[in-house]
Amino acid sequence: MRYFSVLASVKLTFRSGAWIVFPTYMLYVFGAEILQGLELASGETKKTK
Amino acid sequence: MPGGKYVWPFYTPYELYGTIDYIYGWKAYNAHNGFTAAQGFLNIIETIGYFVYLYLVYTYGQQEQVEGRGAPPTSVFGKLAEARTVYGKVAAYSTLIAFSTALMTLSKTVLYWLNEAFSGFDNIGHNDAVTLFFYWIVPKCVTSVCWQV
Repeated sequence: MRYFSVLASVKLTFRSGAWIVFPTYMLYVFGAEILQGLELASGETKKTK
Repeated sequence: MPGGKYVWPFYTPYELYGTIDYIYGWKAYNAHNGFTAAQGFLNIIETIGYFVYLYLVYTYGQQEQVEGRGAPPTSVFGKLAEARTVYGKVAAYSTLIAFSTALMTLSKTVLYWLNEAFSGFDNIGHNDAVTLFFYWIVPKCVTSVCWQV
């Protein structure tokens, strides 16, 4: 029982943790920019922006 | 550590925190657990990464009048909330550094929690739910962004 309450608390931290939210957002933004650059470099004619 | 030379004033709060999360307390220290030292070493590299990124953006970036993506309102924070754009080679370098460093931050966070979970909550499992909430979860949120979620 106690184990599960601890587990629930940790899950709560997981959900609200800035250390997850911020880096994930940054990975999304910077990853998209890197991909865009690589796509352009590959000679893709499709306009991405 | 309590009794150490630099405890006051820098590390006073950690005297309590080390009794909540044993990985930062005497238990890990006496067991010669190298996890915190290893984590600290990676933190240094990570911090350097972010500072290099900020240096590149603020040295080579061009200020724009528009509000930066994800930035607070310019009416409150002024120029600090405005977008800056870097171009060319510097842009490529700074994007790569920012991506890699953010990946470090995310991986380390997941690692800390998984380490604790796979160790059967060896270092925080001794707390009851109330103690854990007020001394472990709330501090972690206050130092981060509970206000945003």
